[in-house]
Amino acid sequence: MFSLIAGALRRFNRLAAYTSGIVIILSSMILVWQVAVRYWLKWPTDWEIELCVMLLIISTFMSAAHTQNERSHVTIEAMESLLPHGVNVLRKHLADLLSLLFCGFVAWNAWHFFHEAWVDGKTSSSMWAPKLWIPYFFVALGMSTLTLELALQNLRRKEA
Amino acid sequence: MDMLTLSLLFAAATFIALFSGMPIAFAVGGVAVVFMVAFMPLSSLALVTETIYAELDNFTLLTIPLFVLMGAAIGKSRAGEDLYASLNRWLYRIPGGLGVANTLACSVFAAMCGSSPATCSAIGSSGIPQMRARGYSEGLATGLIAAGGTLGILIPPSLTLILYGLAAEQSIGKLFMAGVGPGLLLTVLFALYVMWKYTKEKNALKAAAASGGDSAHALLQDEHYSWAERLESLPRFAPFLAVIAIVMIALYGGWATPSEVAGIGAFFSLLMVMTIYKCYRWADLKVILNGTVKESCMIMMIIGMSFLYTWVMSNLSITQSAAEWLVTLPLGKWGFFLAVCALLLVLGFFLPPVAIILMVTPIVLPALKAHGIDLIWFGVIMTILMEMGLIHPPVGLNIFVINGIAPDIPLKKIMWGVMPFIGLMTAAVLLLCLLPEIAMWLPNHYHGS
Repeated sequence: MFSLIAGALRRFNRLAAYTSGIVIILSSMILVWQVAVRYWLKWPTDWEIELCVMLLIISTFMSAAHTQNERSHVTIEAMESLLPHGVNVLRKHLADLLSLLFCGFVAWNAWHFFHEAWVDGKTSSSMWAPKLWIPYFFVALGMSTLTLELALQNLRRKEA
Repeated sequence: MDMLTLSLLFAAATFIALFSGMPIAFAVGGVAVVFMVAFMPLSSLALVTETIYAELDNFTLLTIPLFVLMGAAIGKSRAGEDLYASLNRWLYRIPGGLGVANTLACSVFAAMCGSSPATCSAIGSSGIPQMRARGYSEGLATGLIAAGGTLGILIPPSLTLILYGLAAEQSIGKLFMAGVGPGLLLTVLFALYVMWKYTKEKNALKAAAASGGDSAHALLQDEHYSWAERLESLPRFAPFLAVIAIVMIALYGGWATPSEVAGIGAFFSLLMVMTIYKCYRWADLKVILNGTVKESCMIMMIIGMSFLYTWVMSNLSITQSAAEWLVTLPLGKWGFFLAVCALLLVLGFFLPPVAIILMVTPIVLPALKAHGIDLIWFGVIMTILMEMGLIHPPVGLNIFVINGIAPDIPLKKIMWGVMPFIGLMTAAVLLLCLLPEIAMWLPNHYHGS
């Protein structure tokens, strides 16, 4: 059961990460479009930048769990060579547990943030005024999958 | 609790969290939340996600994932190899020509990607084996690439300068221009050192060969390229020159802002890699996408959480008290400057540039202003100090990138190999103190006109 959940989560996170990468490429294309139409066609550009910022925030949070899965969130390992093996094991266990608690809290907080924006129908203050629950939803979802990933890594470390 | 105790407690908690092995983003975020619970109204906890989101919702931060994409795309292709191989054909006549070609390749590559490890990896993966094959000592070959890679965060576009610009509220365009002169200065210093070291190693081998030693050493063998071979390499420069030209024209021609330029650079780099280097298969794209999202997410998470951290510091008045204390220190302008440089250097031994810039800049900024230190010039100095951290043990990210490229070279040799380059960077900082115009001429001249 554990490996089934872990496998499904890994696949979902990988898919979310590749999609996030494509979203970054899409943002670059939107910016090229914006510069071209503004400079050559003198068209007004009012939604492009805001959309790109939103897309890049979404890509950041949606790739957070995959980044954690590959242990690519940078850490300081200066203590590794200074401490005895047993202490290092305990330190890493504690570090994973504290990371889990922090991300769990932010995920919970993010769902509240999303719910508030959804209920109040919040929009951004720009002329384009997109619904804010959309990016907030992905922040909450991304932090939740990151929390799940950390929980699985904690369980794996405990089993090992 | 008095302010001094609170500040010390905050600093101690930060160091414990960072050295616990927690990812830096979660460590600084975690410290912020703990201090919110302990010292701020509980209602403030509801603002955690809002604060992180509000800080990331920034037009300037767009540049980061896009420049990372640019670096990942170029790094995936054999663009780095092409670049230095072409340069070598034109520079082989000067002593240490291959080393100089690698240094220049690092500079050109840095002008297309704002990342130090990406530059290091792209040029080093083919440059180090070639230099070793031609008889360069392992320390020189690895030290040169590790140090050359750091040019990636100084020569524009630079992620470090963007972050500094955000934290210090300075013009990114001006910072980019200020990075050009010092970037070229470091390139020249590195190239001159390689020429001197190469000549020294070659003379020592010649002397040994004359007294019956190994006369077949690779360093003693001459290489030659015909004009036809040299001219044949010219088209290989074309894609690089095209991308650099597009980026420079868009930025300095007033077509686009730095954030938009990041989009343009990323798009055309990806296009170049997909069309010229044929990296259009899903297997190739997967590597580019994976590399981009991992690095970009890691940096953006640190940025988001660091903003939460500095927001809590500011709400608890720690930033203001520390800044006031720094202003009243009887050190004078240069004494204060030296103290900040020492602090940045020490922090650079353990922390990545992104964390140092976002955590330290708000604290030292008022004192820098009070002492009349130019913030654009200081941004360049700070970046060079961050560069030193990238090649200095124990963390020195580039050392480990090199170790990954050439795992058979002992880490100790790589570390000794980078030491002369740390000396050269120190010399560059001194030169910039004596002649600030090296950095400031271009932004002053450009904005003046």
